[in-house]
Amino acid sequence: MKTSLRLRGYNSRPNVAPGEPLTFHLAHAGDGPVDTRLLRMYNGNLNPSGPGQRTVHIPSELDQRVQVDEQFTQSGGFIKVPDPGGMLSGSNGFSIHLYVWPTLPTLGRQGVISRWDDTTSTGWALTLEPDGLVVTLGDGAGNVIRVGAGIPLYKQVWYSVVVTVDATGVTVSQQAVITSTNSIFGLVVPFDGAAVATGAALTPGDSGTALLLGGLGRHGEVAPHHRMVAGFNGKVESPRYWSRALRADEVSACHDGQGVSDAHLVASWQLNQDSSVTGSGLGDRIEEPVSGLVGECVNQPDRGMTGWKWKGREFVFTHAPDEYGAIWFHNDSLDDCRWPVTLTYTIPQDLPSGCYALECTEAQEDDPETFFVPFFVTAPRSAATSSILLLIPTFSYQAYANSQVYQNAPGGQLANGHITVLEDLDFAMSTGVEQYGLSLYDRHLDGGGVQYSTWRRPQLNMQPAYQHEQSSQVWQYPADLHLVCWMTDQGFDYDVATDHDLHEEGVELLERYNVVLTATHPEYYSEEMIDAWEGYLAGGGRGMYMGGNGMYWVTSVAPDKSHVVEVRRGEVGDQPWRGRPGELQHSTTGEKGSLWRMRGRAPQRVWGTGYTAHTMAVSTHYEFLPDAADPGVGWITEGVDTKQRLGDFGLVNGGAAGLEVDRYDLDQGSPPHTRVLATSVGHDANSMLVTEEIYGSHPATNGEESPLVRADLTYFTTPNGGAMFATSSMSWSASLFHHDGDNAVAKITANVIKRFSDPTPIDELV
Amino acid sequence: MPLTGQTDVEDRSLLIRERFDERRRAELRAVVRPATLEEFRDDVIGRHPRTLELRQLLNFMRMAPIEGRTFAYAAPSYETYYLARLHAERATPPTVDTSHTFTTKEDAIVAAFLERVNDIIGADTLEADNQ
Repeated sequence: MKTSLRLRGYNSRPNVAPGEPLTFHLAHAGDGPVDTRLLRMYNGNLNPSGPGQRTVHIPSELDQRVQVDEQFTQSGGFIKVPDPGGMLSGSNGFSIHLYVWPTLPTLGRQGVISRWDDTTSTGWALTLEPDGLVVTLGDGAGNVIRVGAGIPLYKQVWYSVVVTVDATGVTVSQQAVITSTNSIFGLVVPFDGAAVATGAALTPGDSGTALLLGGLGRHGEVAPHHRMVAGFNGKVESPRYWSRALRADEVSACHDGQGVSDAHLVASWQLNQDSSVTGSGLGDRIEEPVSGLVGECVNQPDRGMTGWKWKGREFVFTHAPDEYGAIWFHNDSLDDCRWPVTLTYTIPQDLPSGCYALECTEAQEDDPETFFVPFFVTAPRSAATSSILLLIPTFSYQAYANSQVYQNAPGGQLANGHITVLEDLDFAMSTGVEQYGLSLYDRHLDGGGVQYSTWRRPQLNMQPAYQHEQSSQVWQYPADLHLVCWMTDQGFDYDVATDHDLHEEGVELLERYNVVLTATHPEYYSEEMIDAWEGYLAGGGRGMYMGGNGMYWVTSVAPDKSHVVEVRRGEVGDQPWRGRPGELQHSTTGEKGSLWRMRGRAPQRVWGTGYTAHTMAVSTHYEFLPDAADPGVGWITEGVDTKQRLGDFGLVNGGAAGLEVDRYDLDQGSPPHTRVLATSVGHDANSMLVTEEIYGSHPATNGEESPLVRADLTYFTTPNGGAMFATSSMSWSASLFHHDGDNAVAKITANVIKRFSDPTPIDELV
Repeated sequence: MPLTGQTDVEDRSLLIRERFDERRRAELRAVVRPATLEEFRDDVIGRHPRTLELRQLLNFMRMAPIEGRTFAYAAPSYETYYLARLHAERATPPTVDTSHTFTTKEDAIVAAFLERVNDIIGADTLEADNQ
């Protein structure tokens, strides 16, 4: 068993067009060199009943032997405020007031606010320790004093905290500021979180660091020379800094939420403001209107979060900025590994669109490790090189990147109904969270749901043969390669593009093609992407929804960071965690999160079907319905015996209807003229209806007892000669290879691709 | 005397869960038979409807705490499988039992199932039933 990887890497972006550069960032803990080469990826699943691993080496300048160093990854969210002029050094006395809501108060030393070098113990710091808040001053000559408030903080309770420092001494004063809505409990609890402690002072030395919110600085000899340590877990709000010690009455005024003289006020950070972003979203900038000591978020701490003044009446942070003054830090968040560039590759003009990877292998004979860094080459910008487009769901890949649900969530197996199979890659994800980050399915160490996911990190579950922890089957990238392999073998000439391309280019991208296919699990969608699909289909485009659970979660992209996506879960949905009350709006755009269905844009309205059940252990087959005999759709099943079962075979749990499945639903907007050609039957008791379909709790919500647990094969025509076909199942594409590809699932898929790629308008069928 | 800060807060839910688990184990011990285990062995993924006894046994074992939970470990290339146990603390690698090797995923899952059954209702009970 291996619990860590010596060799890993990532690239700067998932999508790249001819003529555009792509950078690769590798790390290696071994001694020898690493061999790299470019592969075109066709299949990864090692299942002996399938085509096996299929890759083709593409000779290129990436055929190299390189020396790769081990790399440091800065994990944990924090805010950095550069202070080159020493305005925050505290050398002539200073005060701080801020609000704190800790989530792991007993974890160990955590930096709340500091201008401190932990290597030389120089500067000042307010830390949270198991015994409570502590002020530390260090002169850089070995003299350090610590003054602690003396009582532990309670988890998820808001405190007002004031620190004053001058030559006469140090004071740390705290008061709980609990309201009916802002803390883990309300006013019925007899709680007194007040404490005041004083001690002798010394003049803090100049740490030479930035001021940090959410951690401590540390100088090092090895690059990067400025690092954050002792990351904080919890919220911070409204930090202010004065260049003098506040008087006792001013300290009381701070605790009471009253105004304090602005004399000697140096900085007042507005954690809910970011002037760099147009519109409602928040990026990485923290406004500071007093002295211009602007801060920068590192590693994407949670913004748009409820603060100590939140009353439970307003739920949009842009509507009540005063109630949303907080940022939530987690010591395991990550927005970019920031490793140096190992290789740069500019895509040649003649490299065909398709799925590629940089294959990296240790140049050693004894048990060499190999790591794949996948990416997707599109057609040249503003062009198409085929009439068929396969959309690679890179937003969804990011959402799942390095997910560890089964290792951390006791209920994970109960939800999915099988005994877990795990592998070395799973253990490496768990032991290397600081460099691999978490997925949108995980929780941070402090229990908060992970809301942001970055492309720029090694993605261990995007290795081509990986069997996903949630299904013990291929999932996402390895599953989508099934479709890639089959289309290639069938001789279909196709381009690929990614969610990132669709989000950026919109309907213009789709309009270059006669037919657009989704992959097996396009779950995470932005508004721009839905608009593109709806416009494309309404304009005569043809779509093939080749998966299940698509267009489900509202997804947005961070301003100026196209490699970071955001999802807020909550209220309803098949979800691993639920956002806290009042925290459903995306910080990156200001829009409402959760399901598209709850924003009036259920996937049925565009693709005809929408998510209805997960069926992780047993896949099953479809039965044809009378609509299949409609003369207008006969071409779809040409060559197929519609009196027989459809798809009672396949590489994923033995059927074409499995993992996650969707159904036709007029109430959710399936077009009224939709033909339901077939529907799946025989689901098991572990196939569970999704929670948004269950209005009042009741039994019989499983595959044996509920008529709503099923996958529907649907077809409808759209204006201007277009049409939409849906398989509604994630396991459909794993059935394409059965009987050497001579099977009904493959015939139907091929029939639809062929007709849809023919530009002749499709006859309307209403 | 008001509360003043985070101390060791006693979560009564843990005691309630403990009592629930104890009661549930007794109930399962009363109904699970060797035939129940054979039923799982014959249909590992559950393609056919399961008996109520097996369904309840599986549900109970799947809601167990992470610490000590048995799972099937797939060695690289998915040609060899072992049993292993998870640990609840993040970044603590699982403990793998290399004393038994399995050549199929299904065999490993059956073994994991049996080990969990033993954790839940005790091997002795079933062996006695067998006799």
